Amino acid sequence: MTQEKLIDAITDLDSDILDRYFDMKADLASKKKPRKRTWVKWASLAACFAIAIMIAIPFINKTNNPNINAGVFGNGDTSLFESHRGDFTPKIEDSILTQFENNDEVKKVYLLRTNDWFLSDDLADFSQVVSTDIVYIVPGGEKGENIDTTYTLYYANNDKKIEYVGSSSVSNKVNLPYGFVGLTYEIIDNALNGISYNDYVITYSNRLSTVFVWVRGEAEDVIITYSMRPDFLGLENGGRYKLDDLKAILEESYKKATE
Amino acid sequence: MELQTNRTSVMSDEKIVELYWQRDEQAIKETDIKYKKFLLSVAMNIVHDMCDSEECLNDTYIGTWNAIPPARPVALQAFLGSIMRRTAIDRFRANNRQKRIASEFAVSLSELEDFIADDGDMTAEIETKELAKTISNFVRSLPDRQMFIFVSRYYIADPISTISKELGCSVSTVKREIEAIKIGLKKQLESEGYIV
Repeated sequence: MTQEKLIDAITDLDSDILDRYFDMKADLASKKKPRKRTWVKWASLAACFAIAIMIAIPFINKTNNPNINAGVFGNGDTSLFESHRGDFTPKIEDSILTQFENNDEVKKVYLLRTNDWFLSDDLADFSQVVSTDIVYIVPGGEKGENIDTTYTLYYANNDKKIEYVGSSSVSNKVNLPYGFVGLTYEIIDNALNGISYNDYVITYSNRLSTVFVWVRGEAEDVIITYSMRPDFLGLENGGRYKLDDLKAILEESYKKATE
Repeated sequence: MELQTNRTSVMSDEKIVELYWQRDEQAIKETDIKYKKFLLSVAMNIVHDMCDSEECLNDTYIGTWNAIPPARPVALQAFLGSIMRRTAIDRFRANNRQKRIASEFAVSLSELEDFIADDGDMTAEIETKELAKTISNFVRSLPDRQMFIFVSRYYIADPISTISKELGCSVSTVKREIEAIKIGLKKQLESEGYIV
């Protein structure tokens, strides 16, 4: 049997099996315990397709701005908005809130460099924000359907009038983008246990297909890595590295790859 | 602002399929709203490249548009997933020929190398559909949990860590179960005369 036949045969799995699989997947998702930190769900409005096009132009403009710092690994994945921490408050202006009929479930989110969305009261990740454009999200779809999985999105125009953007369904999984598929904020939270830190930055390197969590520790900085192929890089998923050690490992891997 | 009138919701599969039958392009938009993330995750697992995945997504939408009608899928997600998998595998093969692939799919495939041997005269004559039927029968006979693991790992190409998360167990537990599934599949293939 060739690899090709095996691939094709698995691709041709009978549809009743796939139906059973998706039923079970939905069932598993619905049985998951409520998350302790609700911001995680909000912050994971991954790849909001409906507004992706709308934000594309300002996003590109802002990322081309030379005043935005490049990431620690030089790939531009991270912009440091240290001095703008105060800009990202969760408070919603009264004039805006009134338009939502004072709905206390409205949240402010910002666009991340990764095209994910950043909840304004999650200041731990503020440094990933590359745009001060605010999107307001309201849980629930039309007629209150799918309240756990759907959000309706709005933004304020120049006249501070709320305009509808679109809706987005949110998976119960809280995947961070790309590399190390399956990485969640919960995993990172666990990895941070035992570290005294002031802040942390999550960045993704396209070149290395690796998520780097740059932990700005009280004593020293630590980098935690999650790579699609840690074996290629000589890294361990969830491993903690000092910057110099990390650089040495990556340099060694680069040398091996280019020999 | 009138919140109620501006809101949209995720459409039911039946309505989306009906839109395809009416040749209404809104069908693709609704599919995108509901399944883009899932489809991209399938593609990413296989091709491990966002640009390629986006192209696969577009090809999947075109493929779906061309397939419905005449098809009228009862389970739209499985239908879309199947088209996406085929599309992404085609891309994977093209990329593989250029030696620029390193995806979760490649990793999951490497786990099945035990089943892969040079084509002998006998295996060369075995149609893929027969093999698919054998594998389908085997997977169908598995308990729900093992069926879920098999499809997650070898159809969707989910990382083991993702599967363990979904099942609420450890990675090592899933690895053990995968090994058990592989042993069972190997026996099944051997009993039906496949060379493994």
